[in-house]
Amino acid sequence: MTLHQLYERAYQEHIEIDEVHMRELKAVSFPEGWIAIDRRRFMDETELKCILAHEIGHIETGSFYNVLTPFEIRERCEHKANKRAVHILMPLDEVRRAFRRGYRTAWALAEVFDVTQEFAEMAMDIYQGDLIADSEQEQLYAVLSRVGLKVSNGHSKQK
Amino acid sequence: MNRIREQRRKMGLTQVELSKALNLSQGALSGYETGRYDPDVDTMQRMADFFNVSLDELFGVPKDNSNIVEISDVDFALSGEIRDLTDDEKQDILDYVRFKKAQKARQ
Repeated sequence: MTLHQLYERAYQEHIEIDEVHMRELKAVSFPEGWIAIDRRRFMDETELKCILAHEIGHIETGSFYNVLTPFEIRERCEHKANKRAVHILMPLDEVRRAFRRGYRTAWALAEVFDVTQEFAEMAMDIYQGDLIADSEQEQLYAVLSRVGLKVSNGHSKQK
Repeated sequence: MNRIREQRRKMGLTQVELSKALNLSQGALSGYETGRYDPDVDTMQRMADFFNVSLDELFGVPKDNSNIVEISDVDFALSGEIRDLTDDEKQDILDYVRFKKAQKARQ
């Protein structure tokens, strides 16, 4: 998903994104569907895209806190927003496809999906279980086909 | 709007009585009460002294409560590490929320 498409998604969901100058903050979101970003603090559009997806993730999942909220609850909110951001920018089926094409490291996936390496690492972390299951399945099918057993494998057919 | 009329009525005075006490014409007093004219500073002070209230109470602009936002009342979310906010970050949040509330109030 490009930055433009991400803005488009936000617009469809009536999320208001304001570019403002802030003293210290890079980006902040609110349950009212508001996002404030200070573009001066972003290295490039890739970083902006990742942070924006994260803030949209907060709004879509309704995970917010205030200054009095305990850290563990804030952590849970951050995790929810990260997960949603990963689903937005790196959907599992696309990551699976990239994996099958051999893009299996964070930096390779970062390049394919035009996200920061940190973001790609997060995605690998979140999809870990699914991706391990895929590769175990692949190995199993490889063994089975070597001993002459034919199996119908929905995933490996999609090249 | 100033609170001259409110104070005058509180004291049970008519415009004529008050204008005499303050050595003003009734027309001028009426103009001040409706906000059509502004009294000079000297007259403002004499009125405040007469009513025994501060200038601010009589002529001050009432604070707009809708714009008062406390940081502990604001729900928000940031990106990145989880830690306590700095004062500047809190100010960023308050400034933006006030800006949005003012923007919505205008719409």
